[in-house]
Amino acid sequence: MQSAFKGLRRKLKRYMPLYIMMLPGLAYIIVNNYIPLAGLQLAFKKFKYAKGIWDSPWNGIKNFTYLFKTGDAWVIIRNTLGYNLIFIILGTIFAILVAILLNEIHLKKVQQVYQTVVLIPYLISYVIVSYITYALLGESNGMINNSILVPLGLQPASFYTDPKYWPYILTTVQLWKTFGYSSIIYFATIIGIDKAYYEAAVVDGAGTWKQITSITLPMIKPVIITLTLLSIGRIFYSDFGLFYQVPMNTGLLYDATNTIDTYVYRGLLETNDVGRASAAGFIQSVLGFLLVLGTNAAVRAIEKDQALF
Amino acid sequence: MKKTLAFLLMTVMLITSIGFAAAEDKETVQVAYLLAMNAAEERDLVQDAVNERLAELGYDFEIEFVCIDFASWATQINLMLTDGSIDLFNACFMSSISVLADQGSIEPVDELFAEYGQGILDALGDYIDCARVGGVLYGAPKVNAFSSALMFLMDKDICDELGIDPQTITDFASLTEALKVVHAAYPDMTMIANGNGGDYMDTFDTDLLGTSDPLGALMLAEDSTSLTVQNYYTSDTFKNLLSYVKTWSDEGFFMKDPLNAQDGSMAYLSNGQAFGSFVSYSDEATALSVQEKAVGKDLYAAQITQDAWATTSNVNGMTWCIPALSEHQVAATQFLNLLFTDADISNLVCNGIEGVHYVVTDEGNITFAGDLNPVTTGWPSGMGTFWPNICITYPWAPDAADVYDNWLASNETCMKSPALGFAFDSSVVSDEVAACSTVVDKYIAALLLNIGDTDALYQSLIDELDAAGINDIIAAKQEQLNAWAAE
Repeated sequence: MQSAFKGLRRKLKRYMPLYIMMLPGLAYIIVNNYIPLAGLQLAFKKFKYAKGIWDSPWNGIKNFTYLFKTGDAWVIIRNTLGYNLIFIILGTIFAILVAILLNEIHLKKVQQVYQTVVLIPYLISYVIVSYITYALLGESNGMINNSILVPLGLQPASFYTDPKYWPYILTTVQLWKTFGYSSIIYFATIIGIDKAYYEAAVVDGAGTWKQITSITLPMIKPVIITLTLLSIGRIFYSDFGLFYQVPMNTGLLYDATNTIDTYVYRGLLETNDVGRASAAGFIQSVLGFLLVLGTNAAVRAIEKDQALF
Repeated sequence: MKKTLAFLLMTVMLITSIGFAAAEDKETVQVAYLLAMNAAEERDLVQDAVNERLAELGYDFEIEFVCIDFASWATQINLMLTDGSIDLFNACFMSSISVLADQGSIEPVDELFAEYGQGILDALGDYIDCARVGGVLYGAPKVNAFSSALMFLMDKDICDELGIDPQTITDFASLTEALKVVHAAYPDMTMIANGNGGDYMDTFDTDLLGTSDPLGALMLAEDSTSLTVQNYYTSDTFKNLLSYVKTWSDEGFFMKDPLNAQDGSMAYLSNGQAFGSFVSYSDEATALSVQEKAVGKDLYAAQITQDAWATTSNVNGMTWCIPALSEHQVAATQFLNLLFTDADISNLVCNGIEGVHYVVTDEGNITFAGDLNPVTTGWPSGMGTFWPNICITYPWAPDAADVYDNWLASNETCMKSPALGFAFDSSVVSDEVAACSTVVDKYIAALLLNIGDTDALYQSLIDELDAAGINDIIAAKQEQLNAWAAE
């Protein structure tokens, strides 16, 4: 007992500088991520400015009912989950593909150029992306109609009035915008793989494809699982810029573009209701949290070592 | 060494605390000011002049302008309402006052006004009731020409060239005929400009009952005395409008890609791409005096609806309120009272400082001092209508000295909605309002621009509004309106 205590003290003394270095980060996490948790109670309160968060009266689940008021409830949940699932699956495949291709470039200078170029879309604001999209899809001046469809003798398409095009458009825009950023993370993992594996594989006569399926993919599996779990945690959220700015808030497209976030924004624009907004955030984060727990449990059941926690 | 240090620290603290005490001698009222045009670079100059006038009148408080950019106005004010860092503000471009009252963010002012705000009550007369929610007064609407009619503004040069007399345009039918003539002469020009998101017309002949949406409204042109709340979207007024929209669309009067318009509709008049645009004003002269400056062209205005109506929503859109968390509510009320009654203070906030920003002409109106212009002046010249009482200030040339008398006269002569003074408290049906607003957003732009299969879209709008609970909203409005009428 005595010696254990001594050991602890010695350890504490030895690592003291590290603990001190941790303090600012810890303080940041507590202030930014843990203290605001108390604000979750707003989802169940009728917020009164004059009374503040703690003294506002309780409101039961009244703040939640507006989310399920219309037939739109099904549409917005379908859109939010559906798009996110497509983004997670296609986004991961696309990002890994690009990362592997990047890794296959052997000229260092060229590789650096590509690495920078694929990141550029990620750095462009969605407002600008919405105008690029409009330049392509606009009815009277858009490039696709005027330079492709009409010269080919086809009917010009009215993209901004027909929701049927938008699942494809939004998926394309999202993939185009994010693939560079997510592929960088996979790329960093891939270049960290010990080259000895590949050398041994070459000696055994494995081709490039075999190397990818038998070495690269198994080695980056933990990263794939971690990143996918993180995206699942945010599956009830949607990128406001993508779903509001890119379709230019066009009413006729709501069936394909309305998600929880845009619905809440439009519904509360006039009333500015703090309680209802918190209720939406509450549902999004709690359901996301439960999904992460569930997915992680599933991963653990299949392969214990690969689970996140 | 330590003792010396402690002594030094003590001294410093003492001095600073004395310093603070001296500075806090006078209470300071924070007044929010909207920066919509050029920045108020000479804010301090005007602020000092106002404070000088306050001292002259014997008040023991000072004011400070808190300048907030138009783009962040609503967000910033909402934030300031949570901690009382603002004492007086104009609730424009924000939630309606019934929502603010329900949130408890603004102070009931019946007693404050009775004691310190007699000038406000006198200036507004019966119109002050439009700032009541459930019988309780929550602020003071700014003095204005309160009524509103639908107007069509047109390019004057083109009208003169084609011999179109604006006097002959009095309704949608005559407007359509005139537009056909112009369209034949200028086939590439847009006849009816729209703004952002396809919006080109306010609701007209409709009492929105103190809210900003027509989910349940009085249709004034159909029956000017009835207190029966109707579904605006199934009303004859709206259906009639839709039938004209079809004609306008078939004739090619609208813009290309109207839903993607990125400017206000007036910008298209300004740059010559469009011939005309709908606006809402109390009378043709007012519409012209405001919009000719904005557009930078000579215009004609034609009143399309028969009457200009005063409704609660027209009156309380710009209401001056006192935050519930303000610690200087009495001083804020006193200052608001002065804004309504003291011509010196009103001229300072609306027009700047005489001799520095403006000079008075022989005709009794004002022009820029020296070689200043709307861009170079240090105090925005076009923001008078933001402040509580522009009608006691000098008008800018070329408006006549008595232009504001006409405004006040129009408030006496205009048609008044039977529900004038009633504001609906929407908190009882806020779920339905949120759901219905989404449904309306979904269809309204397409319907009003005749995009797609509008008959089917119209039917979907009506069906989905029913499903979203518009009838509950109408019933709630009717119930509150009946209770109000019974008082």
